[in-house]
Amino acid sequence: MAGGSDAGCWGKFLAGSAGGVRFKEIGGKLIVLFAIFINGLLYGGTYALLAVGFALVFGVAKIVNMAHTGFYMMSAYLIFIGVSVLGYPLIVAVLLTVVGAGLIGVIAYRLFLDRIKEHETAVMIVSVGLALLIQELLLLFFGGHYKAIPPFIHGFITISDQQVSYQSILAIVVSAVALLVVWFLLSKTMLGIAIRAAAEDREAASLMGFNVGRISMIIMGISVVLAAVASSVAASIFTIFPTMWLHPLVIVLAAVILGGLGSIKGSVIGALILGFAESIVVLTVPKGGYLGGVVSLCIMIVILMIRPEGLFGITFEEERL
Amino acid sequence: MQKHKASWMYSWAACLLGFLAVLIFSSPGLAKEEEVVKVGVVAAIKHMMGQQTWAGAEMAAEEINAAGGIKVGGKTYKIELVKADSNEWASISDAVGAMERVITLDKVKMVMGGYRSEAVLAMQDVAAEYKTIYFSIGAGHSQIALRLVQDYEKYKYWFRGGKPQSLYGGIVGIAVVDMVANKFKKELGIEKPKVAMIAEKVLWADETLKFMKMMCEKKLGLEVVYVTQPSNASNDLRVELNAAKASGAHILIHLVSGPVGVAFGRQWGSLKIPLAAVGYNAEAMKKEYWKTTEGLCEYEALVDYVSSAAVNERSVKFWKNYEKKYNDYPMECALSYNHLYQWKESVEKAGTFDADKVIVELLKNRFEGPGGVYRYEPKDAKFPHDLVWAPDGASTYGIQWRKGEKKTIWPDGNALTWFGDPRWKGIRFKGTVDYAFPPWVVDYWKKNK
Amino acid sequence: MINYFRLWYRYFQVEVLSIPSRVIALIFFIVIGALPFFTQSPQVLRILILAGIYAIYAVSWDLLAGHTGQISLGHGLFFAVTGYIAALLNLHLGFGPWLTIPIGALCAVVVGLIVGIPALRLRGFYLALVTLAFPIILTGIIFIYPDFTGGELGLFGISRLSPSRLTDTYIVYVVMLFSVFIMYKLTDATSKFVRTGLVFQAIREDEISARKSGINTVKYKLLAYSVSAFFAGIAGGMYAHFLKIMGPSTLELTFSFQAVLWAIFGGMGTIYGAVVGVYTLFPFMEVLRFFPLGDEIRGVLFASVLIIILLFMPEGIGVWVRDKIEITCPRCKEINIARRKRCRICNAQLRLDDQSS
Repeated sequence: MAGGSDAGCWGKFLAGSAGGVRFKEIGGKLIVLFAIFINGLLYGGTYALLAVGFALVFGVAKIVNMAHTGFYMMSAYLIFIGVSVLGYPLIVAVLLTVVGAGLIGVIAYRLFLDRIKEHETAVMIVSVGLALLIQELLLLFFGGHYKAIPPFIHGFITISDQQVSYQSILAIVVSAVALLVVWFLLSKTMLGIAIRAAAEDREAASLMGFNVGRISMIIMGISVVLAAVASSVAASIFTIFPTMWLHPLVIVLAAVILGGLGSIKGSVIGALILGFAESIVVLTVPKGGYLGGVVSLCIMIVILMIRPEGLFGITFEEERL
Repeated sequence: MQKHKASWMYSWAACLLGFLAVLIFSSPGLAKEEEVVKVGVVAAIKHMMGQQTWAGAEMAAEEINAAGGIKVGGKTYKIELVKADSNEWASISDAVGAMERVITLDKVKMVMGGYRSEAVLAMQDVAAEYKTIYFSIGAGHSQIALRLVQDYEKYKYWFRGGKPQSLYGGIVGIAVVDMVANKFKKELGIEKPKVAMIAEKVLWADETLKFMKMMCEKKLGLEVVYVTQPSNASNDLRVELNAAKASGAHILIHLVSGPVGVAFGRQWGSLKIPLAAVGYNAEAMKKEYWKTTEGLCEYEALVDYVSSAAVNERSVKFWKNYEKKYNDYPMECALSYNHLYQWKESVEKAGTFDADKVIVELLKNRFEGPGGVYRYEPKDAKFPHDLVWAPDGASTYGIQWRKGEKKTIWPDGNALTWFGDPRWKGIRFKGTVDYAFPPWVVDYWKKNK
Repeated sequence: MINYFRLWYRYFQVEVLSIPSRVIALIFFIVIGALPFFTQSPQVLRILILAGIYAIYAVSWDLLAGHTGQISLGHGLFFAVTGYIAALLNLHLGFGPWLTIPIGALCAVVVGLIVGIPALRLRGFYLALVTLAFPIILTGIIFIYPDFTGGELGLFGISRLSPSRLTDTYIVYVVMLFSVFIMYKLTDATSKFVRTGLVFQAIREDEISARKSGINTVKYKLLAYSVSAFFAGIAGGMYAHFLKIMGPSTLELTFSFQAVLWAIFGGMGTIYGAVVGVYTLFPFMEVLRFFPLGDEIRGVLFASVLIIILLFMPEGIGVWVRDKIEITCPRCKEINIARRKRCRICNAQLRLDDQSS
């Protein structure tokens, strides 16, 4: 009984060597670089999918949609319901979720956001309300339990003594493909031209005969679909629970701001930077692993101090403060 | 258009009013014939811990009421439980408010609940202010008991429900590590297995981490080669697990809960990380964990508060009834069951609900139930009103996931020689099994000796 | 002497009694102040105290975001900084609340100035999202030095605000009255004594033009940050001394969002809106908890009420009500009760489309 409770004894010990072992000593630099690479791509890819959706909605509809990661969480739960409650095969559940989440996004846009979008702040708060509503409904029906959805592929591959699950590779590939599809959509299709026109100048686009209202609605659908895609590949790696929207929200906001509000390219690059930053911190400062998010935010502030409009944002020189 | 909008609003208003009416009528205000005594459960009712606390209390209350109730001063009282959402993960002031409400409005005689250390400290203050007996359930920080050393008269109304993980969980955790290390020696011929540690960055894990690291190095003579502390909101441990493997360790001590807990089980099993996992994982205690991890958690060994093995008569019955009624395994927080019984017995001995007199009896009380023997450290102890530790006290157990079930692996009948505690010699409950290595660990270490 | 009182009464009649919103405000403050005479249930007093504290907190957000346009999503930072400073001073140096809260609030001003520096170059959503980062960074710092800050456990054993809850209630009440009044006056764009209100609004509407008109916007923005941080700090200090515990929960994102929710719910950029928001939403949520069913679904209800109210009253509930009961004279800009046809001061026709007169 006595040995353990002696606080003074472990006080001395703490002062000594509780620090983490440096990576150099245990694995060699190659492993670190490789792990940073894989992890950075995984985090960065997921964040990029979310950030692009957020940036599109902001660019076209001029709505700061704080519920964006709420939709990401909702999709994860929809897949969970499909697989664990209704017993569908995973692929069916994912397809249903992607379609269903897109529809819910459009409906939410028509019902809640579209009506009051002239009031910039009110619409932001309504979107916070939406995210809270999703969270509270999930809490009510599922409680604060931690759930998981099964991966598409089980198993792993060993690369230079690192065990990488197939699912992470799949997640990276799917994020990349989804981003390419978005890029194709924006640059090569008529809809893409309309979207970019509306993002550039709403009034001019309206005058040119584009239905900006409808474009905004479609964009909202696309953005939620992207969130659902992100959650279908990433959520089976992560754990799902009703407050899981908060951390990605902060990172997504930081990524979008970092890249420059409204810039699609900027948001992807911002997300990758933050994804890599997070994985570097976790890997090189093991004891400070919990500081991953904090470091990302510090990077954001520093970059904004140098370039207040973000990396790829545009401001007119005379409007600078 | 305007008119249309207005009619919309009226219908909304009508809905809201109707809803409030439902609320008011749904509240229990019916007169009861028999004498009742109210007991408050101020818990995070939407979370696993709160649900377990409520379930444990409910079981005890039903059993006590079925057996006639509490007999005090010639009268019998039925127990009525009052539920309040402490909402402590979102707001501390909510927890304080809920506590005050059940004490002042519902006039409860005793309160159970509280998990987040910050909330328990605040609730302890409320209990002191209203002189109401309060069992905190889940917060394991030793500081909470030290307040009694400073001002016993003020804070004596508090009793610790859960056991501080840092000490009790830590000692049993080290006992299991010792067991596994010996097995490495015997079966795989590895003389000095190395240890890696993953602990989430929260208070209880911090304390336990320091304690277990010191014990590994000083008492067991095992080298700790890797320590990492991910955020408690992190839900991905692949990097940490790979780093632990790269460090060349054999045993992986993990101190996790919540999202990190689920991530650990799934990723350790699916990546087949060749380290024997031993530790404390709040999620892994749930029955649902097997399903959540798709069985990948098999062979994970951990410290648990309730054992399915035959610890005593009541504990076997409790486990069976609980599993049948709630389709879950009872965990630490379900031991509110014990506290309600302890309180009931003390009230009957004292012959009054008066808190000061009940406290005197509570300190003398000895209750054998799930989780071992429950009795409290006296006023002048180092940590007053903490549970006395096993063997003749509350105990924690080593368990391992095997084929969808939690099997008890510790106590295994050996004395804790490294700890200088011979009392454990020969204690091995019926239903205990031997620890088994995950097959991939055996394969890996046979290959890479 | 009597004439003097008569003059005051006359002033009171013109400036308060004939303007419905001011009458409502007056009645409201009297009722709040008199409530403890009727019930001293600790529950009611608790709600009053917390509502008072949160009102200062929400109003201080409104001063910064609603009036000056510096939208802050991390306002909990100022609240928490003072709470922590007050707790540390109280625990280590034994200072009483009368000393710890003002010192803590001054520290919050310093923090406000530090946060204000990025604000000099950023605006709009860029600024909003940068401010969101600060509480998270401070949480990280608190977790790095748990010995000093209490880490996750927080600091406890802080002394009470005052010996009894009743006096607590009145201290908070009086502080709330003064704070709200000062902030109201500072942001009053029509004020003849201070020009901050006008300047703040100019900065919100068009900062570049304001600067071109020779206003030192840097000075005024930093001023807005300091004032806002100071009052949020006062609220945070009282919170720490009332709960007697100060932990990192006030730095969480949801707590910072609370201020925004309350202020926008009541009406942004109006000061009184934030007070209305707090005093309607907060007690509503607390009262819900008295019912078992309400306790279960209060989260869902909170979110639904928030969304519905903002859908129909996107300007906030306070502004919506005020628009229904008041009308501003188009000629002399004096406020009139809505049922009047002609202005009470200059007799101008109030509604141009009104054909009946």
